[in-house]
Amino acid sequence: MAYVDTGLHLQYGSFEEARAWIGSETPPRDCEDEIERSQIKYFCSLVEDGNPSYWDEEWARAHWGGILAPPGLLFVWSMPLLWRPGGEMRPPTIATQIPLPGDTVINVSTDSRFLRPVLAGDRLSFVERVIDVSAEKKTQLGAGHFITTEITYRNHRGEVVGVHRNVLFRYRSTPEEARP
Amino acid sequence: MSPPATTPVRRLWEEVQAGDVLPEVRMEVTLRRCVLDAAATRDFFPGHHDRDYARGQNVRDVYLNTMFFHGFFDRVGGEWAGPEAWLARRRLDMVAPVCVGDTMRTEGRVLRRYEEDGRALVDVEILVFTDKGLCTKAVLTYALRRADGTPIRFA
Repeated sequence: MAYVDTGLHLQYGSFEEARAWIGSETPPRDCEDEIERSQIKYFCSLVEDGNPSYWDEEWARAHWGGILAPPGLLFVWSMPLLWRPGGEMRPPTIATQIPLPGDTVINVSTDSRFLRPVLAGDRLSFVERVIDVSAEKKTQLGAGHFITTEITYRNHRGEVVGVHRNVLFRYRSTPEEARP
Repeated sequence: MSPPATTPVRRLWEEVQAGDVLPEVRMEVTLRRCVLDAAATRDFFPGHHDRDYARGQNVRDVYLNTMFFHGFFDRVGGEWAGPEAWLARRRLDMVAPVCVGDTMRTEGRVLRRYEEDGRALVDVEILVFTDKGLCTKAVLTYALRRADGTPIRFA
């Protein structure tokens, strides 16, 4: 595949090197900003979700204590900026930092638990942990490894609001025998 | 602009039965929706906006990301469960990419109604099809309000 900046900062290495990452954890990081109403509106307009918890300030205050963030935004709050002045760049997930042979990735499955409401104005932080890296498996897309990671999100009061588990497939888009 | 005026559903746990069917939802996947997807989920991975990159990945075309489906499943489930319901857990499996030009169609049903640690829960399964077949599916676990008005416990 021609080189394209994916923003993933893929690290390359062997399966044995990758296995050594199981159990490793990132330091706690703050999400970019407080939970923003504009992001909530754009996300709801994307999927056409008219739930008053996300749109109707009065209704939401009576039921939740403020505008509720859709649960589907949980993983979005920890997405990194693509550039910042003089700052350190990081990929969206620790999964792409794990050294493996694959040149690209696709997401496979998620398992998310929601423990407390996240309201507009809250501030979140998160920690990500490597749960597992599978042996090489062949799929229709190509051969590669399944990487399981888990992010725990806390609010500014230190309460866990959600736990998001993700399985990512890291694979070779071109079979070895077809490479130049 | 205001969202479409709808009367919020209040789904009581006692009224739900395994096998209950959720209303079907259809949605077209346009390139514009994929661009909105990138912006609304802060996801600029090229498979979601760069056709050449997606094809290099052995995918037909630019495709919707996982976070789109988080929101889409939650919308389809939430329209049935009502805005007071608490989504406790979502398990999602991607089966095949959903690309520009596809039309999505949902099928949803209640798998079971049960109590756990005193909470009134239901599991709802939602499948998303295109004309290529099943593309993605999810099981959503909702904590619902009881008929006696007991407040919903989040965890």
